[in-house]
Amino acid sequence: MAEGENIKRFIPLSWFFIKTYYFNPVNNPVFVVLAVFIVVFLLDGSLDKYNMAFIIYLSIISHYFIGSMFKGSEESIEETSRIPIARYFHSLPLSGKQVYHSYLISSAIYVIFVYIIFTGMLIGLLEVPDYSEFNVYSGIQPLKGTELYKSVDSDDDTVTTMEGYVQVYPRRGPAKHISEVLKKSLIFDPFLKINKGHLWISLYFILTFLYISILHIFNRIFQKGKTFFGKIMHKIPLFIYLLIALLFLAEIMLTQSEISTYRNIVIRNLNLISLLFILTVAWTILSSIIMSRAIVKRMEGVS
Amino acid sequence: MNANIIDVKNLTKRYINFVALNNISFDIGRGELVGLIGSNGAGKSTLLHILMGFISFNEGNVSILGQPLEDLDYRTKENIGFVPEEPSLLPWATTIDTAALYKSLYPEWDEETFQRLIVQWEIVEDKRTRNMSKGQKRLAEIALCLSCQPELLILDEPFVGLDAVMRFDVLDEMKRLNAERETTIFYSTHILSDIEKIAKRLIIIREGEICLDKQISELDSTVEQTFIEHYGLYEEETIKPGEE
Repeated sequence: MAEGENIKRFIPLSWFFIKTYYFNPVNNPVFVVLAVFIVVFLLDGSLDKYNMAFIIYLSIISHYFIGSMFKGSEESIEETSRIPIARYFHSLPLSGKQVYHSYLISSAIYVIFVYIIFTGMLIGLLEVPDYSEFNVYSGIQPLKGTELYKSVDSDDDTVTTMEGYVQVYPRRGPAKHISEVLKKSLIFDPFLKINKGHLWISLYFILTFLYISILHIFNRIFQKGKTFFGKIMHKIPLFIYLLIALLFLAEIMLTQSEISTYRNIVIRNLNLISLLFILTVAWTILSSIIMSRAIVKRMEGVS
Repeated sequence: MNANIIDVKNLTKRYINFVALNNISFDIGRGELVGLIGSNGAGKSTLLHILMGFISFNEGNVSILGQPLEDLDYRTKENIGFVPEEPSLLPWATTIDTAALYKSLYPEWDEETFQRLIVQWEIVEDKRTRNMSKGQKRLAEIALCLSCQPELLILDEPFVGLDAVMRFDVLDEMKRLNAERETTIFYSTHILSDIEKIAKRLIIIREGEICLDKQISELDSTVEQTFIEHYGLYEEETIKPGEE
């Protein structure tokens, strides 16, 4: 098939997945909740620890909603090729490869979008000055923190914001460059500075991801999803996530309760937050690959 | 190149415990409107699923639109429409979303037909499939399929979940498509009157074998009578006590 013809089919299908599934408030509410939180944060300049825990929890379970995309595929009957979703795509003028690539691309776009949201949120939290000592609240936009710092007068602590009112706060030196923040906070730092407690939680997560991956593969191959055992096994990951979310919330509340600023809460937990996010992204990609490959296998392995 | 739209030769499909289709052969020419009937488990769905390439077969040759089934490319698939027995539209998408996808996949997509059917069948186009009733799902699927203006339309029990009014409406649309575009239509049903209403040819399948393949006009009796005869439905009643 000509390249142009391939793109002609590939783009609409990717767009279909993105529009109808990933960025759809009904099908993927995690995306909307995250987006609302980040908007609230940007406008308000603050998040309390409960909000933070909630966001983290939602990010963790986001894969669960994504995973539900192909729930229909578990309704298999005597022959695997008759799985409804595989049958549906097979009946369309599309090749298995096109479906596979479109799904992966749309999944990647979603992941990148969520990554940007998280990055923005973390940068925002890191860059907001600590006002707690002065009990002064400002309407400063967190993401514009760098601009504000630049305009601090060297002789005093006064800065004129774009809105034209005066805000007083202690100087804290130049802000980090965005790329530096990204690099340090989201990619390498978690692995270098992880503490023992977080390491255990991370290992627990990794094992859970492996467990779910194996479970998915097992179900797709042997079609055990409909059995009682299969159903129970499917509920376990969700239960584990709820447990972890509660543990994490408890950890925040117990260890950080004496700290009054949200920024510090995030900084203290940055390693864990980042790691959880990386693992969530990894799971999203992994589950995307597993599921789409399973679908394509059934689409192509019949004729 | 084969002139037939569907060409099936010595097709056999075996499952572990039974033979679903046993050495069946038939062909369907361009513009034919063929009804397929048979009891549950006779092999109707198996046959239609094989034609769509959903399931493999053990022996025989199958060609669709002049192409062997195993070589069917999506250029050819652009000209094939399929309505399965169970609604298969993606549950999270709305009808309008699916229509947007179909528009870019099917070059013969007819927006006018789609809009007309949406209004005529009162389909809520911005409702997600999962939130639709069974009948609405069915109608949405048929409307989308008919709007693709395929050369070959295969329908597996398309009237399940539809009331009599809607059934007649769908049959009329099928007939119109067949008359206006010379679309070949091959559909299975349990409702014998639906065969008589539009089909020009009847295929009866029993225990995986074709027991009748005739033009409706050539039948000696009604479709219902013919079906009863070929299935021997009243034989048991005639057996006297003590007889085996």
